[in-house]
Amino acid sequence: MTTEKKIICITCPQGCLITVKGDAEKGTIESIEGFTCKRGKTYAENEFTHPLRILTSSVKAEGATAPLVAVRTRTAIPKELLFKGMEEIRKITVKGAVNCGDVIVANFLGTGVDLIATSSTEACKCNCKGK
Amino acid sequence: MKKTDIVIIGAGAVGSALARELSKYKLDVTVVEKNEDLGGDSSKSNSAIIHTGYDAKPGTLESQLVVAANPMYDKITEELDIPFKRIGALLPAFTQEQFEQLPALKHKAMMNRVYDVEYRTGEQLLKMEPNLNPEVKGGLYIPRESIIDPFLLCIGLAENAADNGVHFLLGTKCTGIKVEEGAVTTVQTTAGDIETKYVINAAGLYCDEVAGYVGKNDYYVTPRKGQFYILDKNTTCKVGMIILPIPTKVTKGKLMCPTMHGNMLVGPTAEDMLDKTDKSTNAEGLASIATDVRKMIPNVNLRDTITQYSGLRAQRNPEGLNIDVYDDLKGYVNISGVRSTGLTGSVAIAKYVVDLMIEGGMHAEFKTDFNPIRHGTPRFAEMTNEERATLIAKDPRYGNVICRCETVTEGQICDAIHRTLGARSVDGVKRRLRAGMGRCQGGFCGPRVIEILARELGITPEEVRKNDPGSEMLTGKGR
Amino acid sequence: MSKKIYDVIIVGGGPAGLAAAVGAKKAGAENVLIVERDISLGGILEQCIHPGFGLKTFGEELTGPEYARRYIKEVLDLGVEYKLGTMVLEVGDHSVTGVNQKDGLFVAEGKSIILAMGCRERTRGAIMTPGTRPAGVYTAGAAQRLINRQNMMVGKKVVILGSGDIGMIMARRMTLEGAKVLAVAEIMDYTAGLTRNRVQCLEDFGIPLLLSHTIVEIKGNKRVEGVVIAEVDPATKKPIEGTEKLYECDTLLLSCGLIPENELSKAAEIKLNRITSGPEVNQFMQTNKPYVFACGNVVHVNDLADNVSEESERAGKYAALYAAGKLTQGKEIPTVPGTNVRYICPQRVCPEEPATLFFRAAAPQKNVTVKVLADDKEIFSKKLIKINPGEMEKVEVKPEQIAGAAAITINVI
Repeated sequence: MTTEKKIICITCPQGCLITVKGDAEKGTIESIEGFTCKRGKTYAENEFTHPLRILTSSVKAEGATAPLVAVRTRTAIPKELLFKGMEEIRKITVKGAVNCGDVIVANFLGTGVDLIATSSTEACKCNCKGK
Repeated sequence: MKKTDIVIIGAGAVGSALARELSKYKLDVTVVEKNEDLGGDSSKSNSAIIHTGYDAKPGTLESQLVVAANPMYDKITEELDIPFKRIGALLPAFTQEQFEQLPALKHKAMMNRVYDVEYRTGEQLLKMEPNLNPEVKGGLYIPRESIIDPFLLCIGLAENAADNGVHFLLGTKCTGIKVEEGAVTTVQTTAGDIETKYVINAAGLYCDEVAGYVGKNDYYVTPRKGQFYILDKNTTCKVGMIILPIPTKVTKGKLMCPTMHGNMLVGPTAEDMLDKTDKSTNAEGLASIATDVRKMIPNVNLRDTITQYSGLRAQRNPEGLNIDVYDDLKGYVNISGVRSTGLTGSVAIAKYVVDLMIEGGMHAEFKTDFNPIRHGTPRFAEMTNEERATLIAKDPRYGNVICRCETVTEGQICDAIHRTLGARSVDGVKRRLRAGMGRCQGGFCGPRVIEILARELGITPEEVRKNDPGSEMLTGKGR
Repeated sequence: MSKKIYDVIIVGGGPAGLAAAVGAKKAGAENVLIVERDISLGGILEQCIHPGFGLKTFGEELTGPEYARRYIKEVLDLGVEYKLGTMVLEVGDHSVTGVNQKDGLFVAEGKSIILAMGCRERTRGAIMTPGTRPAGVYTAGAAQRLINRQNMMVGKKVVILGSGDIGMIMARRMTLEGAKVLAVAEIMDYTAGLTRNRVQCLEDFGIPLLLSHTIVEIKGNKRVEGVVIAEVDPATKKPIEGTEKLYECDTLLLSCGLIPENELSKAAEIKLNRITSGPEVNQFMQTNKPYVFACGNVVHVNDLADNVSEESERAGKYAALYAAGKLTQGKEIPTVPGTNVRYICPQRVCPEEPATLFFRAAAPQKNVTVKVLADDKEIFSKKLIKINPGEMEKVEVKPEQIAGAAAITINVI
């Protein structure tokens, strides 16, 4: 069934309004108008057939100089996996020093995308077992 | 069961002043306060003014007590390290009608034995306060009207009382008073019973409830709400003195004055309410303040407001400050009708009540080791750089500024938490130190204060409260 | 304490301060000092764990902490000195008075000073929302700090006032953390923040955005129990009687605008602009005091960290040149916000060098032409599909275009 979707692109602050016509279920696109760059076109295509989002959150840190390490999926993952991703994130504890860019979980949720650290912590020098 | 000689119900200004006064004697004194911190209700939300009593009703007990209290403050605030300043007040008349009231007001001041009230011409008033409405026709100058830090008044009195042996049961509500054979015997509270010889009802807004426990509630108390604005220290239109409107029967009226810490205070309204727990502000009340104060100070810039609050005055019906002891009820002192001049009158009320109790037969031996001095938490914001350096060298925590707006350090917060009757909540820290009272209203210091409170009190961050139980700042841990 | 004279002292080690330090070093400044009040460099970026940073600067979409780390690495590699946990109490005559636990109270002297203090948030008190004063009322940034850096959850059932970026970002953050965000109320009839945030943070999660609405009462004695939201008249912004609706919640987040934090600037008698609430600067980011420069959110509230970095590197460069006695200045030309322009930054332009003029529209408009005039002469124009107050725009001017003019005006028509 052909549907038309008006999508505001979010890849950059310009927020172009892109109109996509096609069969969302089958994943086929008939026409796409309104984009001003390649990334926008790709975004709109994905948004129409299979929306993706970068998941950003934080994981518990132990024995470190901060109680949390900020994390994100390296690239966007299917939008419908966000809350499942949060469930997994809540189970994670990282210990000791973490560097920005370290892989916390490879192939997060089987998406082929890694969950990486975006902040860094140093190992806590005292015996407090973290906060 | 706990045993004491005297139970004071309420740790507002009156209760705290009573506690300090009684701590000068060899008596066992216990203060019961339903809120989790000092300051009661009205005593922590008012205009922070120490009045002269010039406009009280002549011949009344209120007049007598306020007029007696005002001169006491120089010594008390010095002893207890409480910010206080005699900045004086102006009572300007802007209309012919108001101008014609001045002689009667001046005479009233004389009747109240406030002799140092003087006339000033409009021109003189404008020189004293250039921001007055230029149409001012003349007015009165009341030199001893003063401003004070109202939180530190209660806290200073109470801390000193506690340091001199008074027990404080905070977060403890009086639920009943037992009378046997015409004498009080026990005060019932949410923390158990207290056997006692004397009970002093200093419960302010709830003094009628407490009086009801002993059948002496021949009056009732309704809340009269007063809403206020606090303006930024940098506000474009500031006054240097207390600017008072010509008073009416119902209220002293809406004034504008500086606070001890450099803000401007504008208000209050006077709205008769029924709900003693309703401390909300509302748009109509706040708007009425704007209208009224602009007549006196046309350029007052209320857009520079950093916060608004409302306090509840304890309005006695029938009206009037009453301090009663009863032949048919030994040991019970009823204090009611403390309103409008309660903060001021507190220290005189305390002296009066103690005198009354002694005249009534209370055995009170004067202590020789009473220590009248209280050193407050160092006020980093007011120190010179040399003083600051010395302080930090002694305790590095004074080098960690937590509240940016009011320049309050971690050292101060720790001191405020660990001292006698120390802060145990965000509001407790706020009232003792001003952290959170600045223009960012706790946006910067708030998260840090929560952390420090949890650490210093040995509780989880989720247990940190804004004030009373039920006011937890957080709803849980993240991870 | 130390009698060393720095070439550049930077107040604030957030995105602006970090980039300024890099700019100063690259321009040859030998001794550069950053004074930062937090326990780490990075400033507000440390709590902005969401993506949206670095697209222009690095060609990648990074989160705040990652973006910060790029600059922190450069700052460390370039040998910039920094003090953490240090609050600046005063900006004086070629000096900065600071306090921390280690040094106590100290005065650092510098040939030039860069103000990079960022912003504070507009509070409930400032917007005068009536009602009670319970626990559970937070500015969005304070809530963000608690959740992202202190691992503390602020609420379970949330209403957000203001569709500023921080509010929308927190709507998403709290939803992902298991809270229920009931609505975002916005008094204007358009979204205050970036459109992309409206999509990613509200529409993605089905959070209602109530334009032309505001909160007229906060309820709850100890903790927030609810807020009353009413519709407002789009023209007067006054609540419309009869449209009040109670939303039961335990938390209210406020995202009602940022205010440049210029207390130090005011005390140092730096001239501030009435509209931006920040120091008035030329394209070198130089204030009315020639040795004091300013950059980042303290000058004007930015939407993109990338713009802050660009502007701040420039400030650092020129502060370094000033410190080396190499900054020449001529008579400056004022910039004038014209039709549908709320403000322009810089407020003055030195005609000897090119300048990028950043500006914001006063109201949203579609299909506009941006016209730049030197006195009455049009020197540049461009068409835009739309313009929003929430999205900063820029135009470039060259010396030959503005030489001799008495004023440069930008009109949006």
